[in-house]
Amino acid sequence: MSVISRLPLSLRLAVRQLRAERLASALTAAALAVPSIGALVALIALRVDNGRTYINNDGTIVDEVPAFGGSVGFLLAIAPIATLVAVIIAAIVAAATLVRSRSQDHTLALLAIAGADTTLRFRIASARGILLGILAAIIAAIVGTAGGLLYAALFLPDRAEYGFPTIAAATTALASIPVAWVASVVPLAGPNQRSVLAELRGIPSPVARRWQRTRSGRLLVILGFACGLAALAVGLTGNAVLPDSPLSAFFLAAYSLAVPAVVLVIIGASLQAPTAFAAIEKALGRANSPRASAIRLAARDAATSPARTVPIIGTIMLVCFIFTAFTTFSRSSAETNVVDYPWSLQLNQSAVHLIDQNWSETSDVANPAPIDNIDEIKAIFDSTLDVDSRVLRGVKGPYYGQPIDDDKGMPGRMEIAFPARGLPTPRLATDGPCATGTLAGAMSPTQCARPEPWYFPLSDVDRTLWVGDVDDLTVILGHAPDTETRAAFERRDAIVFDARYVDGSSHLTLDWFGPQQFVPENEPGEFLPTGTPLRTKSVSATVAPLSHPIAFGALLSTETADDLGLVSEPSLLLAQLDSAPSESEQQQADDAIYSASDESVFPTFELGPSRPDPVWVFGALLIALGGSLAIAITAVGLARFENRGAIKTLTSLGAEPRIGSRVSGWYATLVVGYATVIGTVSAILLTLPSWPGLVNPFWPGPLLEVGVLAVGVPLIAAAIASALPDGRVSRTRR
Amino acid sequence: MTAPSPLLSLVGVGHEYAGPSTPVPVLRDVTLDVVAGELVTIMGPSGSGKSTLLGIAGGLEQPTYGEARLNGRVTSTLTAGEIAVVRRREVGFIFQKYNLVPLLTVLENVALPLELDGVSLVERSAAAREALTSVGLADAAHVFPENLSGGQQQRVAIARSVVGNPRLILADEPTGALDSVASEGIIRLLRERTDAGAAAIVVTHDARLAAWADRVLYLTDGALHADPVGAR
Repeated sequence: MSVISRLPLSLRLAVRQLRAERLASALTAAALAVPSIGALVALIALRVDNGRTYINNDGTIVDEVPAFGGSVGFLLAIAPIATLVAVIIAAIVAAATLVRSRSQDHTLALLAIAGADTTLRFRIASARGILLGILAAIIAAIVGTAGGLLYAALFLPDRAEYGFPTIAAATTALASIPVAWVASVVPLAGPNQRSVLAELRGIPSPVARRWQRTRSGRLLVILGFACGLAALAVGLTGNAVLPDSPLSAFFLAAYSLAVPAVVLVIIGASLQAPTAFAAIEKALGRANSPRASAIRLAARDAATSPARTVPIIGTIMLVCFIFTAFTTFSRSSAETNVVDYPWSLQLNQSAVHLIDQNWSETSDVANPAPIDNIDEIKAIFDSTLDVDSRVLRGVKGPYYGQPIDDDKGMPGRMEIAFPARGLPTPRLATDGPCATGTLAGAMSPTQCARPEPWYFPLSDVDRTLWVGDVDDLTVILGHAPDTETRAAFERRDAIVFDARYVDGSSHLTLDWFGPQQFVPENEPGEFLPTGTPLRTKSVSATVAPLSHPIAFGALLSTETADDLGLVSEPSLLLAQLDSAPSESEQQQADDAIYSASDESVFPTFELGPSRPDPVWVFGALLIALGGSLAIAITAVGLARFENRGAIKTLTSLGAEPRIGSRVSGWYATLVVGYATVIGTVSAILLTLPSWPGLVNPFWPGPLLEVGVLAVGVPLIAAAIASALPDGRVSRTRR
Repeated sequence: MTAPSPLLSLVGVGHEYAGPSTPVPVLRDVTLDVVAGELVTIMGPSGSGKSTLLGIAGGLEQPTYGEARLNGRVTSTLTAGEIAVVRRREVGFIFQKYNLVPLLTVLENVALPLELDGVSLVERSAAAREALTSVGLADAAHVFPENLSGGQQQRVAIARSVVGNPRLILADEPTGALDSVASEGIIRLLRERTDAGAAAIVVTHDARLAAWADRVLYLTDGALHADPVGAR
């Protein structure tokens, strides 16, 4: 007598049921293990990442503080989607349990005639749930631990001092058990009294009961889509009312609608799946072609085999959901980052600030001035980066003193040493093209809607007014100026890089301020010069917008600067690189320049915003594609095995020889297609609230990759299933 | 000398199934007493309510009206748990489609009523082996039902129905799917049980089976008659 034979009846039945439905059981357990696997990997990685210790000189030991952006940041970022995935998995398992209750009803009816009472139903479901949970915990423990250690080995090689989080890891893995139990027994709530005789005789469920289940599934799907649309509406409203607040209450409200929308659609679609396939079968009831017959048989198989079909649908649905949601969020996040990227220079430019603050050691006064060894720095810069840089001459402007503590420890500001005639700064035009909305069509509108600072920086080291020649203009723009700009510059126009500083008569106005306009304390008007300028001058100006707007001010020719009485000095080393330098080249330049200077002089590089690596998305697609196809093909094989008797009967009755392959192909198309479409749509529902805030108000996901997954998987699975030979059908004794 | 009290008593029993719009009557005012040692066959066309009658007799269904008494107890007054106990101790079911639990071995199927009743593994295994031996299937104890022929599965179902020595055996077309040799073997088994003191109600189309009965009744359109003429 085997060990299983000695188990209590409910446990024995659960074990054999799981064994009989190996594929469905394995898929369900794997799905249940997903959240624990993710949590385990994160847990181990976090422990390793934060387990490093440092020994101070005094012998004390300190743990490294976890850095946001490391594992903690990663965990915070994935926590909401991981939670949602866990909820959806539990919902899918529950839905699968619910739809497979038809076959469970039959087993219970068989037991009832031998005298089983109604509590056995609960005991079997409990045993099944606990067994699935244990299986999921084992999978999670093995895969999660391996994944965590692999992550640590690959990305955190200096992991000498850490202990494996045994208790936390075990708890995380075992968390699958209560989840599986709840998912198994919750669907038993509600009416389950069905006539034993009707069940044994194969009489269909009462109309009302079937109608209720169908109606419930349909209702959930409708409710889910309604929630999704409501989420979109709230997102649109939020974007209209608070366009610059991406994390407003509207956004949170939209997501509080989008998350239940996804759960409702997935549960509803799972419940509705058998009914949907039955509807397809019914719709083809009168069609008489071989193709229609194959579709009808495939639909009927899908409708009447929920124990096989629903877990497959749930698993593939989940794969599509995770892939689409994750890649969509990644893509939209990257897109937002590109738009909001704070440019410091033009693309592939490098600069070295040449102004030293020259803090006074005896008083709270600074006197910014160029560093001494500019030629040496330029030579090093040019040789290490192999460029011909330009030393731009800037005009010292007014600025606020740096925050400091005075000799009594009170907060204050370091004062600037103003010359007697003051320092110049450009004036924001009140009647220019930006102010009046008459910006020339050739000019980018972003020139007028630029984010802060809306004025040129009042900085002690950054310059606003530049004095130079056409070569300097070229390096500032990052490309050669067009003919008009060049001609304007040659006729001594000021070349202004921000349209808001040019007035209606195409002039740039400069105001000179003295210390009286700059109060050194936190008082009203702190961030703008106040009062009447010491003097004001205007110069004819031409706008030359930068490709990437930055606060660069205006460039004047030497003659114009002389006419205005501007005094310039070497302020910035600027070079346009042919291409983005490598990290080692950047480091080499940084080291060389720093070592040649007593001051903190270093190069900055503008390489532009980082963009998502297409290889990453492609890799994720391959994994999702492979996983979905593996599940789909296994399901097709299982379906063909289970239907071998029926196919043999059909063949003996004169059906076409390849009826088995045709039915398998259509089974794959229907079941896998249903899953991929619902999974993709659910992910799109989840991303709806973020659409209105995007630059391009259209779905931001990787259309091609998602399309390949949603459409390609069913088609490939169908093609493989159709290509498989029918083979000999073994005789089964009945 | 007083007449033995009936083991099963149906008094004015009627049953209706829920229809799309109105209830569909299946049994109409059926009255029947069956005593120990009696083999009663009920014949009738398909859809006449024979299986429903057996279901009510065994406590699987409750009558819409009227009263069903099993060993003196009115089934409608019992809880689901109490009816389950009655079913496993006092009633044995046999069906045309065998209705064995595919997830259990032959031995476990036969021992199922005893297992549900809390009988120990050793005791129930011994009783199940004895029952299997009585139907000639002692060697098939550890195989699963799907590996048996139809006749063998029916014999397993019979072994299960008698393993607890129930006082009432209810058989629904027990020979419907069997050849004549296998059918006769089943009939003999049932006769032996009733000769040993059990009562049996057998629903059948098989006239040969009716020949072994103490009483033959006819069910037509839900009404029970003592003769086929009345049935018409």
